[in-house]
Amino acid sequence: MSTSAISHQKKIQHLLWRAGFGPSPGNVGQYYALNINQAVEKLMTESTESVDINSVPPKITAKLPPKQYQETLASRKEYGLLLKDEKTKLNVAWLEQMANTPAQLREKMCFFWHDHFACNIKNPLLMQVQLNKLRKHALSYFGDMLLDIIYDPAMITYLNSNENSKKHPNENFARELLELFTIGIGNYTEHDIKEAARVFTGWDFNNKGEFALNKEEHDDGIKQFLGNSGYLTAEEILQIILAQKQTAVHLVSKISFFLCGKYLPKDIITELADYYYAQQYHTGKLLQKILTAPWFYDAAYVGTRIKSPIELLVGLMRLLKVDFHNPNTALVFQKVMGQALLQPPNVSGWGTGKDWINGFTLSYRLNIPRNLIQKDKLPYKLPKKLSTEEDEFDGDAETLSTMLDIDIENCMEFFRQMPREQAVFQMADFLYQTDLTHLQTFLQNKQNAFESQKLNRKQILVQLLSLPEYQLN
Amino acid sequence: MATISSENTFFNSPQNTAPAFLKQKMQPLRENERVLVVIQLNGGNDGLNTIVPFQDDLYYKNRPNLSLAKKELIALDTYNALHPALSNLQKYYHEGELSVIHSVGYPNPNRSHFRSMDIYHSAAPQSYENTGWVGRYIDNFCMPEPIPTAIEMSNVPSLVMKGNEQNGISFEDPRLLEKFFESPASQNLLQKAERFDHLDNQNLAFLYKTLNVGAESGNYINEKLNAKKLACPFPSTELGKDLKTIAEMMASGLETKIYYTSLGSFDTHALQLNTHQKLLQQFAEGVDAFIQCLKKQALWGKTSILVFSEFGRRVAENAGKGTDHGVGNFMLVFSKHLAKAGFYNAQPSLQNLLGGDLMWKIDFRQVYTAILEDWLGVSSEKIIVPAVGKIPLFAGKQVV
Repeated sequence: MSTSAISHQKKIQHLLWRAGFGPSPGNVGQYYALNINQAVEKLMTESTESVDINSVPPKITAKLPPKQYQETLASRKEYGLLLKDEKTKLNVAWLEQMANTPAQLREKMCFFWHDHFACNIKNPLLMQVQLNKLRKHALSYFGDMLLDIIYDPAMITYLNSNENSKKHPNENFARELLELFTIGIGNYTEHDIKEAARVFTGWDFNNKGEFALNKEEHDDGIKQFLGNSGYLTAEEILQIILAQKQTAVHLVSKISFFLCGKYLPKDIITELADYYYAQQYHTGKLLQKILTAPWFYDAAYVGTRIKSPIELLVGLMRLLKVDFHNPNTALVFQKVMGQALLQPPNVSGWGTGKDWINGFTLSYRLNIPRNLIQKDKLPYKLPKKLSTEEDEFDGDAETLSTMLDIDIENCMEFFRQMPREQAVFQMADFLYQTDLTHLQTFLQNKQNAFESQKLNRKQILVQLLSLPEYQLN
Repeated sequence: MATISSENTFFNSPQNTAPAFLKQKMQPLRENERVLVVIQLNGGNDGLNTIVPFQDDLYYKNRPNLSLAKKELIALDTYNALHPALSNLQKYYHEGELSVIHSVGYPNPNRSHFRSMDIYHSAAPQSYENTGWVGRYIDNFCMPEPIPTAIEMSNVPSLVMKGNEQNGISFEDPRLLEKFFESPASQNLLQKAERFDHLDNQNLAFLYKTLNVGAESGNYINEKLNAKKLACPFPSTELGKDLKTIAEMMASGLETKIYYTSLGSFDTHALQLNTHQKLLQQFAEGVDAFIQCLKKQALWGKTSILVFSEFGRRVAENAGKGTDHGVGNFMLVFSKHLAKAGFYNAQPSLQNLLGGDLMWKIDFRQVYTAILEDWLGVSSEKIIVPAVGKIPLFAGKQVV
């Protein structure tokens, strides 16, 4: 790792990439003018409000299809397609909110919590409801979020809580609650899972999406859980879980890994976990502490993290103002790179870092800018089948770039303000977070080509976006 | 039954044309010449309508619309018959080159396509792993660069190819592979000397290394392919094309150990008969053409083919003349070196069902372990974790 000092500009961009979806040419200047504490404050202030997404139309209901979709096989099939379409529209509505909202920190953490409480069901209404809950609590008390999640219809469906009955307990939700959502593996016994599962028996919801306890299936006996015994309610189970210091340690490890791209040293984790615990799991306060810590801007953490597909795509949308005419186009980008919103692969969420990269995905990621900006066709065909579900992509993938528009005027105006004799270097400083010592020859060659008018700013933009350096933040 | 000693001829066969510097790095073990081809049937193939219990009344009782007529079926023994679309494959059964392993599954079966396929890929039914069994094989027993240890015939890699250290290579057409890396980022923009594989920024070095290794593997495969043309007939189906490409790569002397391809979707919830017939026909014609081609090229002796699906389907048909997701299914192994050709074990009972599903008896990981240890000749210790044992699938005394 280079020991060279990280410039103020790079630190600000680091903050905007990690606590949001990257700098936008429109407002990065305002942030450059602030010191780190002020910049974090500004991010927090801009994220004060939580704006729900409500793209799903009322004809989609929580449980049973509306009457007109129940009659025939064909109408049931039509409803199935409608669910799929609306889920895609919800996906893109969220993607656009990520790209356009000033509440960058809230949206980024909503994305984090969506990975943490990973959930993937076919009903877009229930996904939308869950998503709005995650966004609402993204920067405040984790306990409130947890309480909303245990009664959440999408999660009840996804983790089979509605199949959890007194006579035939289904431990799926109880297991993931402890293993993935809170304490983490190794800090409870199989007996604790069994007992917690009994508490969540009889869980269900009605067609309005309201929680409804099925009393006959509910086990109201005495339960023993993590050293406690009694007629424990779901709320009491959560209290017991949150009272475990290990829950704070597990959450802080995960949140800080998301922000830093590396596991932090144990002493920092302990310090942060103590703080989170003392602040009663207030996520906003934890974030403020991490984002203002001097070590957060250490060279070890800057420009060393591989962007997830969503970060890459939304970052490009912020830069190039992408308008996907058809929601399916946006979905194809996500699926090819391996990360589609609202479709995490399983309850443990998506991979990270190197997990995203292989020869194909890397080649594709590097080709996207050329494809978007110059409308160059990809040099190969995308697969017709992007998954094993009956979920085939039926557009002509090679012409993806003709199915969307970009508006790079803002971006080019921003670059035109950079002095001619420094243009390429300053563009690189804006687009890249990695140390650039190794690229000096390359950049100088491009600068020369620019000055002799062999390359213009737009061509340089495409080339810079196409280097592996842009894959990191 | 074929014996292992017949493999001696491999040393004269055309695949042994690796450059001298590569040969030195490869261990001169016979096992190293062996190749595994995996054919994955996506979507949950209906096992009961593929290998049909045609003398069992319960089969006809459970499937008033979907059961296949006795006179059309190809009887293999007194209980099992092949779907008529698989007629091309009956000769391998009779010649002792096919083993049908009935009732394969895993504990706590999952009916989600994604999860169940992930389980087959990761070989980890009880935990969520982000590596696959082929990927872990590559981690532990990779061929020297630029030889791709494992190749998947898909432009989007599956979990199965992911290792901790490295991944298998995935493409639909090896001739387009070089184009993957023709991006403005790799060869064209930077000087040849600027490879940046060894930067302190480990993730950046990893990206450059991925590009360089990919480009080198692409070149390596294409140089071999260009040197050898293959004149074998293949059906012009997707599977036919994939298997043709695999046969070409094998005949070109590529030292790759595992080829992986898939077919489907077998997810026949409604109006199953016609769809299933077409898919099975594509499967049988592809596999038959492939084996015949390998025989002609004297490559069949070093090849085993594994066929599986992520789950079977329920015993009873549904209201839409289809079948829903079930558990347990057969696996097929085509090879000249089978310990027990024909039916490896008894067919599942249609009487003793578990909630409408067949009972599974053999863990699929026991089949993987047998393939790793007794076919590819490696230790499965770091690949199948925890160890679950193996079944005696291959003939001859095997050394790990």
